[in-house]
Amino acid sequence: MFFNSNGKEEVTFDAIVVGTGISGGWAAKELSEKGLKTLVLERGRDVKHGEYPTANKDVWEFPNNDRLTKEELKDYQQQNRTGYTIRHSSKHWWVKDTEHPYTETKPFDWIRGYHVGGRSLLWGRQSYRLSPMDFEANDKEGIAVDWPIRYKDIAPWYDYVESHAGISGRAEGLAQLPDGKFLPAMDYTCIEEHVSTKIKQNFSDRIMTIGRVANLTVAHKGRGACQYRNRCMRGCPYGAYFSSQASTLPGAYASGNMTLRPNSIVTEVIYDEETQKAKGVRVKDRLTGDWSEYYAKVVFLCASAFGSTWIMMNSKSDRFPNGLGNDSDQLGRNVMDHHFRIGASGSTDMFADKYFKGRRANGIYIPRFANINKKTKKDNYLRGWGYQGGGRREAWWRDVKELNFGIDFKEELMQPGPWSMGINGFGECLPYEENRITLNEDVKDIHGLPTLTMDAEWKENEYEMRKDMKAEAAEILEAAGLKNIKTFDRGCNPGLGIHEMGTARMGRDPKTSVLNGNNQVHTVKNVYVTDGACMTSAGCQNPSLTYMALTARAADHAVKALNNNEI
Amino acid sequence: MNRRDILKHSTIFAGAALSAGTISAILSGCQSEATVADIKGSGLSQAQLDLIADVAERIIPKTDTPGAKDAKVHEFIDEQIALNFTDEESSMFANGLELFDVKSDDAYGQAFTKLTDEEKDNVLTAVVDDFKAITDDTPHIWPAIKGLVVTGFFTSEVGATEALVYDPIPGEWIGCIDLSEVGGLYAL
Repeated sequence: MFFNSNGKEEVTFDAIVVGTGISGGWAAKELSEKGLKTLVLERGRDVKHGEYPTANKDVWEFPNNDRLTKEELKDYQQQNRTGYTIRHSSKHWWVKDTEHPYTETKPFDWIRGYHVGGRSLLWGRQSYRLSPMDFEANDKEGIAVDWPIRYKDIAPWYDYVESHAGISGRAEGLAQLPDGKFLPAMDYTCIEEHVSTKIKQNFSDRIMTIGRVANLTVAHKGRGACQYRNRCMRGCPYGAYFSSQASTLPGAYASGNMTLRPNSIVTEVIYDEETQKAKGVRVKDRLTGDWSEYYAKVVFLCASAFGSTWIMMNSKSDRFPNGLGNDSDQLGRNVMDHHFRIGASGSTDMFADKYFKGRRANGIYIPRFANINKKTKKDNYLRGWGYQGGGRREAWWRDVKELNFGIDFKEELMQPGPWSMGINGFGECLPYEENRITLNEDVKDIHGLPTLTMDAEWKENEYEMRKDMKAEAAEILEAAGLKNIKTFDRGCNPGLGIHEMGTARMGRDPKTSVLNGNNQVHTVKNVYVTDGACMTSAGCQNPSLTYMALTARAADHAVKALNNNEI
Repeated sequence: MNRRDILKHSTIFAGAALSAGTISAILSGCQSEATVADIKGSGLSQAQLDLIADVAERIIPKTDTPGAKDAKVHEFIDEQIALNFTDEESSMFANGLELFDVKSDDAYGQAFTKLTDEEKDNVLTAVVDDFKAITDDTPHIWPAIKGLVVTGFFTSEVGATEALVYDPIPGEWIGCIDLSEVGGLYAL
């Protein structure tokens, strides 16, 4: 069945980390820096910091204006649904759907890349804390199950990961969006400054702030400051945004305790019936197809929400016939994401003699203001949303009226167009048991492994919220005095927010949840799951910062538990 | 013709080719699900490419900055048609090009490429008028070729670095400065 060419001690470690994205990188750093001999397994190819082949290329250096032909796009039918991921400049970061298929009972966009660094190289970098309100909401409203932790449990870990990762932003003192340890904030454009002032004048319940973003506004921990090229998704040669390559894996390498093995697809956690613990993982080599096993005292699953869930579902034993730790039948359920692509835009004739310098890899943020207190309570839906957006001058692709061609037309297009601003809501989605993923043994991937079937949809609470997300966006821009205000609702499948989460949720009761308050599998205590799978509710905030904090917290717990012989 | 109509016409006719940068976001919702075209070159003749080059140069003429010919916009269009147009779209585009010679012949009794710059501009105006007279969804050459020329020019190295303000590594972000300090539209 499997063969290890090396001796048992060479495949035995203190800890195994599965995955090298945002969560896996943090687990690798924390566990190895705390002295554990740590094996880090990544299913995809290795990518060393700086190996970003398109980082310095301009559009004319790519074939076909950096676009793929319809023929070339056949491999990326689902990955291309974002509209921005599959270009010649970035397609090497995303899986081919033809090699890694999934099945959609209902439409679902599962957008992902398999390589060292995972989506930490590709993320939008918006970094917000969940609030006390978010951790209490399920309990207060009787939704799903209660989080087993509260804000105070995670707050010091937010401090810790922010201080290392480097998050720029501005403190605002809001209860619903706690402040963090911020590097200097990026500033507004003229139109954003104007809209921000008008919001302050016209509304008592909402404010605007600059996006809190994992881009360095000053050099930090040996990494360079942002050069404002706004080409983050190609990989940053300056290491100016948080990625595993730039921020967490260097510490793991420096500890001397990490072994990183790329091309290693973890297919199962091996459960030991005698000890009632995991003893290691089973791995299929991506390149050779060979099987091997690795052993450790503790296993961290950080393979992405659905990746980790898939491994657990595929880890069947006599004790766990329905997947590791799945006594509750909650594994794969409660799929959440954020619903978005709804809001408004407007423009202004003001500031015609103003412009900006640089390409800020960040936007503005209007924190949640619905259902914050009695005064803002909504009758037709729970929870709320935040707006992300930005204001800048239009470019050459704008319409220029009455100037059809010629010198005047050309010279008009060589100048910036009017200022315009758009805001786009990101709304919380509730956890629903029937929104789920399941293991599909009939459809196999390129490695002959089972795949996933997605069966999730937005429901009434989300659709009711969207009505306000659209109307309030227009109201804000109108109050700001912008013109040509247009609302939009482009719709989105679940998954398109690329914040999929919730499929191995944390909870207090093993009967209704998969993980406990330390991110341990309730019934297999030496397995920790610290990626998006663990989320009990979604909040409306971009979730990656929370995964970082939970991972660092869980690693701390694991090391102490090992030292105390508790796991 | 309002902006929406122009986009619609462009979409049906020039399809994918128009979408670069932000334009793709605008159009992505309404692109036709055309069948995949075989990749076999644009099928345009040298005479047709010469005509495209001359039309492009009148849309974006050389001034103290480079024009469409300097940026080889006709080669960009050739590539776009070859790679992204369906067979049907390609032949519609090629047929549509004839309008320039038809209008040229009407006014001056000779081919477009033989005209003076002023005469070419008059023919382009006639083509624009022809387009503006359309009240339904009939595809028209004007928005198609104009969209390709503008995209091809401003995404070319020559257009981006010499006609626009090219600042590959800004090094800093300042949210509000005087436009006069920059002098023009950024290329990136």
